[in-house]
Amino acid sequence: MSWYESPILQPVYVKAMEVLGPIIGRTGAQLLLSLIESILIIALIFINVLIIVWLERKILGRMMNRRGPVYAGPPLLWGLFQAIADFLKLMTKEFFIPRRADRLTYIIGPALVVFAGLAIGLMVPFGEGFVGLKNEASLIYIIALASLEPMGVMLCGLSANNKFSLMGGMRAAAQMISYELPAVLVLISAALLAGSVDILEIAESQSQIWYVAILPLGALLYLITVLAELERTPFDIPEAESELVAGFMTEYGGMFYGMLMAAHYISVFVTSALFVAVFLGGYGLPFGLNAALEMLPPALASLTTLLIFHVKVYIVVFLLIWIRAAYFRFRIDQLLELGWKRLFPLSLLNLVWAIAALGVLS
Amino acid sequence: MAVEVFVKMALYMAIALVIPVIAFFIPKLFTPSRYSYLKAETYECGEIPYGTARVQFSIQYYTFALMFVIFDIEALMMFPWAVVVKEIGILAVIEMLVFIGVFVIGLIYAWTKGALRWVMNYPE
Repeated sequence: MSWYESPILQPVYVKAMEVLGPIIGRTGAQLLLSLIESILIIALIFINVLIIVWLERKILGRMMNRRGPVYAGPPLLWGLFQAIADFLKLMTKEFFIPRRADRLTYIIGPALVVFAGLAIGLMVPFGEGFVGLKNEASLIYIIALASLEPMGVMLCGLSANNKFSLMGGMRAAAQMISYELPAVLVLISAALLAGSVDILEIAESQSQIWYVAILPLGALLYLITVLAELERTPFDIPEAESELVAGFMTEYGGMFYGMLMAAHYISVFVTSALFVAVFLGGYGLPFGLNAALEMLPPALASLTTLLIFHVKVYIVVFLLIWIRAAYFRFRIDQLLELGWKRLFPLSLLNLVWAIAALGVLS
Repeated sequence: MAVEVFVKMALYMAIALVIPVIAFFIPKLFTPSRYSYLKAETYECGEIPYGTARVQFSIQYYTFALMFVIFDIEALMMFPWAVVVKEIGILAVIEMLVFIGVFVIGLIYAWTKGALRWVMNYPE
């Protein structure tokens, strides 16, 4: 399964195989097309990153009763190109590695953080047919890569040879061991209802009712763990700017810093997408309304599902930005105790709830 | 079929890893580079750094970390169960409830022993 199975790209794929097949062979053409598809997925993620960066600055500004970015960009969408301007500015900064830092891990750390976020995008169902790769165990793939990200953050912290970075990296590890267990247990409860650990099948099994209605406790717990996983405001402990300068990012500048910020927003997009796929019905409509989409021409229906998915993702992103504007920061020991003494027992309760719900439904 | 899946995954992952590394080195092509001893110094609030950061650092949460490893492996056991529970039925549910019971007993034991504290043996 790939993006080329969506009704929009299917003709392109067939045509490309016809043209390229005789020249570079069938396997070669397939490889080339997979390469193009990978770049398409990453391009989609980066476009969303640029929009989310702008949205966060604009909405945070509005919530603080100021205007946010105003000048860059076309009329009526003032400030939309602010993120591009920031990116270009970071591009022109000097390539620079501190003298005392370990050069290899200094580069691997941020690369790993970006990689973990981007690699998840392969298995996220963005719309009908817009799935990079369908796999029976895609949820496990996603969980594995999501917990790779704090490793990258830890490497950033350890390599820089800076005390603030070291503490930031260690805090990232502490954060991971406090939220990951509740997150995994909540995802298992959703997998239980769907009877599958394939993220696509979990999304498609919600065509009648979304899991947020069956597992409200689970959705709430998952939202909290998402905040911790993203290192966002109630839990932005690894980079706590008022305590640790910039946490694990202290020694990073220029494009390294740019990619670390990009990685954060990649994670915001991908994790929101995961939340949508698991609890908000993925790219479909509830109450069996998907049948209405089938009346449209296939290409248009496919585009509509892509649009529905993005609308839902941006609702979740808005919620995350709202929480950032409204809340304070937890202390690291408070986060660990929250994770183990509140979220973990509640996620076990949620699992029992899911078993009971499965009994009632079937 | 299976090989295609892995080839595609490897291709995608390679691109996802190469993109950030290329991005790091793009500025090297056209930005000025003026090295100075002080610029390359570690940041420590404007002072000359005191010692190194490669120290034996007390991570206060090692009991959490040990428990995390144990419980995370137990959580991993639940994935295959979640897939087959509809086929097996009530027997699988009872087994899992027993398993969750063991989970809870382990958590209560650790909690009463004071393992779920930021600094052990320190008044709250």
